[in-house]
Amino acid sequence: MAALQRAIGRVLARLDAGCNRLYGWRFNPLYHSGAIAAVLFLVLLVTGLYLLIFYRIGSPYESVVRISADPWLGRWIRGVHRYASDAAVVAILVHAFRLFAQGRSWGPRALAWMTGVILLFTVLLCGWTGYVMVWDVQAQVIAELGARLFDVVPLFAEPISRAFVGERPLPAAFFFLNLFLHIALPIGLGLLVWVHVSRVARPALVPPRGLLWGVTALLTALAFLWPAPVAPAADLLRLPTAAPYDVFYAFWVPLARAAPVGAVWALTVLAWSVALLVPLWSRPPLARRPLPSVVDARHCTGCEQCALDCPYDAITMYQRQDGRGGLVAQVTPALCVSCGICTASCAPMRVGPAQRTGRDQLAAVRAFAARTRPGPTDVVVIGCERGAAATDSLDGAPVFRATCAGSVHTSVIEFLVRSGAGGVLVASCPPRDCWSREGPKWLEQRLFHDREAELQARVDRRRVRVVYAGAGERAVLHDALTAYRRDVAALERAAGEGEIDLVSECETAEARP
Amino acid sequence: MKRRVTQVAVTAGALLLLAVASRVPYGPGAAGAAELRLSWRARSAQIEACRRRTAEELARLPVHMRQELVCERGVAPYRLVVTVDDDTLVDRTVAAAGARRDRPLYVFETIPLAPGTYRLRVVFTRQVAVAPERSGVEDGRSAPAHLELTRSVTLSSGRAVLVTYDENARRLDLVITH
Repeated sequence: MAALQRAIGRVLARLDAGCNRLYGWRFNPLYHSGAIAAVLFLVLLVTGLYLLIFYRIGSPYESVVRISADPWLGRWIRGVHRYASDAAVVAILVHAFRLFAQGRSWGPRALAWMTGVILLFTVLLCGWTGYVMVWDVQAQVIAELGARLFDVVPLFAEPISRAFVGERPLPAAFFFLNLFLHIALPIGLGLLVWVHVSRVARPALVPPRGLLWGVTALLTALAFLWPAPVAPAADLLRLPTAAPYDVFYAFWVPLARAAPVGAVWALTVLAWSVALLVPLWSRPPLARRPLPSVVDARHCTGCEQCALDCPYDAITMYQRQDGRGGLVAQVTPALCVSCGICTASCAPMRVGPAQRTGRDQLAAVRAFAARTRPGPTDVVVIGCERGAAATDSLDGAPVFRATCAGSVHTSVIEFLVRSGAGGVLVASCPPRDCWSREGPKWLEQRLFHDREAELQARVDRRRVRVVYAGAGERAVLHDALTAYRRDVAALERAAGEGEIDLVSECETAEARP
Repeated sequence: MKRRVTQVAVTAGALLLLAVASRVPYGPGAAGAAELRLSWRARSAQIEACRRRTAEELARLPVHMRQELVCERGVAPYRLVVTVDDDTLVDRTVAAAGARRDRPLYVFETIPLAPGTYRLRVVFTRQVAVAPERSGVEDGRSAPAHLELTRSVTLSSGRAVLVTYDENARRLDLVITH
């Protein structure tokens, strides 16, 4: 299992690195696959409402042909609807593979995973009903095969397949039921999305504005340049002829035509069961599972910062029961994914996973500094072990590894600077690729925007820099390290503060990506 | 500039892939193939098999369950035989549907054939189970005990020919469209 995760992870890391080079990490569509799927769902709703106005259950095929013949809105909106539904399947699959490869599919995340699988199935179901609505050759094949599959289920008194033999025309009730399902299923999708993100404190359902409008504009342009095809009309007494099929929804058709019904059912049930049970078979052995955070209630100041920062709403504030008054934090282990974000949000270092609290980090960094003895021209790298800095040494620079850059307590950075390091380069995963969801965001705010548990004002900010580099972006990290080493060397060459042009330094810092 | 060009090319390529995957030509073997379909729903005669319990059987039962005459009701099954040019392609018993086997009989068969002209014979005959004591009651709507269709049929490429049961005329019919 771990080997499969690693293999998919390696492919994703390369793709991520390529997309980052092309679009920048802010607009990398792979990082925003979940949010893009949510946006496509909205696009489908809007375009679907328009199509619904002109769709006729009494003459389904003719009404779709009429919609497609309208060169202004109909053809274009039908195309956007079609391509958005295809892109939604791609986005959901990318999102699922990403979370699977990152091992974010078990424990407290199991609910999100399982609802995600059900979401994918519902999207496919919605797509099938949508294609049947058109009642062209593809619709006929999907309907006939679907009926053949359901005929073996002892639910219906009469074989459903008989409706599609051509004995009599399909009744309008069939198309009404199909339309009803096509409209009712998205309502179910909305509810599923709500459950899907229910364990996340701040779900990202909307991608950055540029990406949002970019995706919509691209689908619009595609629909305009290459409208969705209309296949020949369904004819129940004619064997289905060659027609354009949508791979994203009709991928199962060749198999279902060739294999016995029982085999198709067995394969279907097996595939969906395997997908649903990923949380069971992807979780690490008990001994290797990270422990949830714990709060040292005796020293908790009740500041609420850990509860505010926790990306999974796993920390709740309660009234103290020990007579001291005020609040005390408490972690719900069933919700904690052990990301360690709370470690860095607690100024007194009294919360965090066992052996990874702020105090544990300080002890580790003391040993690290004693071992590496960084000098005034040296740069020390603090690296997220999921990102590009998952190594002990990078181009000669010692690397202090953390489970997440957002879990590194600012005291660790201050200690390194005060112990003589010329600079500390914090190598973090790009914000939307953080395995702990919000590590880079809180890291940046603690370092440069005085978020609680902030880096103390006495620390020279020129001695600290953050670089975003995903697992496949060692070159980005290498370049950032080289540039920072040059800057640190320049700092050391300056005889004193007076020789540094603060204005140009600030301008350079602001111009940095 | 090079990055911008690559960006446009990759985006256009991804869109093209999406559009192409959305319309992959697929012909599920319609060319050079034809199909014979049999599809109908027919009510069969109800049958009732009754017998008297022996004294020993009655003695084994609780007092309140000692009913002498026991009857089992059901619907008579039919035998379906489809012969094409002297080849028997289907020969099976069609039993009533439903968990209690008391629903109508449903026939649904699809037989792929090469285009051409065939001598088709479809026989649908009631099979009444043999029982020592039996009483059958037919209602007026049930299908005749023997239905037969013998015709010469021409199957065109890509077309299906349907054999169905006309409940009003109480006979098997052939539906062909060209």
